[in-house]
Amino acid sequence: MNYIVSLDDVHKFYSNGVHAVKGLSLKVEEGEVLGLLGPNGAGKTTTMNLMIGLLKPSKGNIAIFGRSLESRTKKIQQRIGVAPQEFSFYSHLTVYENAKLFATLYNVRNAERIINDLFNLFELEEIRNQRSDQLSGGQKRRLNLTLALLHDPDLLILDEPAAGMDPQSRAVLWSSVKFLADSENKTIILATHLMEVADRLSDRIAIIDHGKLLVIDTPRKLKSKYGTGEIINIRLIPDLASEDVSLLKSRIEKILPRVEGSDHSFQIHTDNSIEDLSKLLGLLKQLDIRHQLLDISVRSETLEDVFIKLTGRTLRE
Amino acid sequence: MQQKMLYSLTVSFLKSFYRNRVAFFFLLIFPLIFVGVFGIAFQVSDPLNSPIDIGIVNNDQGIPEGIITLNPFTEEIVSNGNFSKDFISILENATYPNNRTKLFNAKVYDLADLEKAKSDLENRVILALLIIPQDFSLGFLAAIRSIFADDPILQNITQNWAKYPESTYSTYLRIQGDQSLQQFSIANTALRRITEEFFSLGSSKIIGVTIITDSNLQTEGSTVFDFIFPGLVIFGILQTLSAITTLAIADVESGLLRRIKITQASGTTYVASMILSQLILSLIQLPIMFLTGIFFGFPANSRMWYGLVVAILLMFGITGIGFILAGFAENSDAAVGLANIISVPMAFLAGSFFIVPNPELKWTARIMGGHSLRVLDFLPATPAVRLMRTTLLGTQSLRNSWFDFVLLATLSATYLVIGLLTYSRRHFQSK
Repeated sequence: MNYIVSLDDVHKFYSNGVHAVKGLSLKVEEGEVLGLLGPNGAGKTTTMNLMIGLLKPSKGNIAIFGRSLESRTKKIQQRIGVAPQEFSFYSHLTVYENAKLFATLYNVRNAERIINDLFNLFELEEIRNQRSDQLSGGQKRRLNLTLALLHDPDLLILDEPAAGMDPQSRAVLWSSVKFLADSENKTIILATHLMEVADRLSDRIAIIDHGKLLVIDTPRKLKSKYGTGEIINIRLIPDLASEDVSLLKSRIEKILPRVEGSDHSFQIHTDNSIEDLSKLLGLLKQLDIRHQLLDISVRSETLEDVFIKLTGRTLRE
Repeated sequence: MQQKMLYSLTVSFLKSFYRNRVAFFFLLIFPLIFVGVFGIAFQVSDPLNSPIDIGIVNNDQGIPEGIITLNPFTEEIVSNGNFSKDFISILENATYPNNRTKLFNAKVYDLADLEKAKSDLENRVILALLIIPQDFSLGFLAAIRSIFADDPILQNITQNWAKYPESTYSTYLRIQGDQSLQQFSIANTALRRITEEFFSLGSSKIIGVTIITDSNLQTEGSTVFDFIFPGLVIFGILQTLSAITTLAIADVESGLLRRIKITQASGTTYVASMILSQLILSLIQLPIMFLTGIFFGFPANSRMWYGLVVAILLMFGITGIGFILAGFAENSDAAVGLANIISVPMAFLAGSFFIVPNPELKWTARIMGGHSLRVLDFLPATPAVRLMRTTLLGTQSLRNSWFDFVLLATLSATYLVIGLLTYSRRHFQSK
């Protein structure tokens, strides 16, 4: 098997004593999109900097394109495109001037044609002569990504590429990422807070927290393995006294033990929503609290539910 | 390949700088305002458009005996005439262009008082000395003969000349003064113009005279601004410390350096482009500063080229300090703060505005062949201020300034090397 990225028991200690990455091992195949999920401070950016060669592992081995990153780093880096979380371009230069500069720094041949193609792909053509500091957040993100692709890299590392984007720009970005993965066979490592997008775009998802890899698998398998199926949501009217809410919760727990939540909203985890919903409705009818109910809904468990279950935190914490 | 990248990065830095109005203001305009303010505040010389005190020593022997000619100013036939009197009269009545103010307060010295005239010039009693030679009128005759060669009246007269100067004859008129004085520059220009008009007799040709300006005379009593201006140039260079530090840390802070590091551009290319852009900015800034200084009364002179070299040498040292600070600063705010904490006191300690005590380290003389260092000499601005002042004011020959020159070059090179090592160790090496 050709692995584009291979991390083997990688550790990273910073000089301030922080153990940012703890024995991380993972492999990424050619053409794969790997979603890297983790809350803030989980070690995602450190992991990506290790993959790029900007940081050296304190322990363990990293191989990119089958070669140790310690040897011929510059050669390997030439095949990697990075879109950092920050807007990494010269704000006083125009969109085109930035693209032209980085094309020169990457020693790109046919720079004009490639710049034009990328401007069309990311819908930057109309603003090519606009100064970069005058762009919207979404346009800046697209320029950030354009600069990562100028040299036609085989491996693309995107750190929170959709942060601060409006829905329209996000749609352009995601369709472009999908195009790069499906049509251009790029290997993509994608760190994002946006769980639903990672779910939709990633072939596999790696969840890391406190520098450790908690789990890595396809979104479907993760959900089937860690998600118990479905969730019944109950919302009560805000006027209901808290004693009545507690009483109701204790009555529900007697028939459906996996109840979470507090105040006026409960989530009931279930493997058989039809049977459990019928039990719940029977109880509510018996208690005659129709007028205290705001709504009842049933949904499948999402990747976010899996994430919370594994890390005990939401992605934004 | 790296040269092309160096060029692209340098152009990008310069474009970014040009479009960043705040940076542009602080680096180019702020020092000029500073020079202007000091230029006005410490301008103790006479204001422009006031009569300039000049001295005239008249050696003219007049028209040689036996020659009758036409005085073109009075249109009288004269013999034994003396054209220098007409010339002096023109000088005394000359005014500033479009102005009734007289150009000169002319003091005519007796022949025996040449030494007194020179003494007055050295003491700035007069600001220019005009020495009219013995054959002044003879030179003027050459001009008359040549310019009015076709005039029948003059032809008639000149037939009576027993002898007359050839048309190629030239008398040598001397103007002496101190080129470091603005008033001398004005007087010299005006005297030349009036002399040339006198000898051209309304034609386009100047015949019969060669004007020699001896402007290397050192006179006493430089203005306060003359003293401060070289320090202001150094202050202007020190102001770039904040800019270079910010430039070096801004790309780190924005994550741009992370992106650049994985391109084909080497760290050397990146850093060299920053230094090159600073050098180009200095080469723009310095002539503007010199011109502003000249505008406000600092005497223009050819030694300014050496001043430019001194300033560029210092610029390399300041760039080195900028890289050292960028190697420690966490962000651009901290970088600007650190730069200001260093650059402003350094300007004062180096003596940019006034002389500060700088105790001699006598033990250094033993290991440096008699040349001792002083406590503040470890700041690159200290020898730079000394060099700039002695160079621009001409108070010391370049040959005698070699030690400060070597000291500045050594300090600048040392700071630059330390800066590059610090910066690359912090920001370029994978950790």
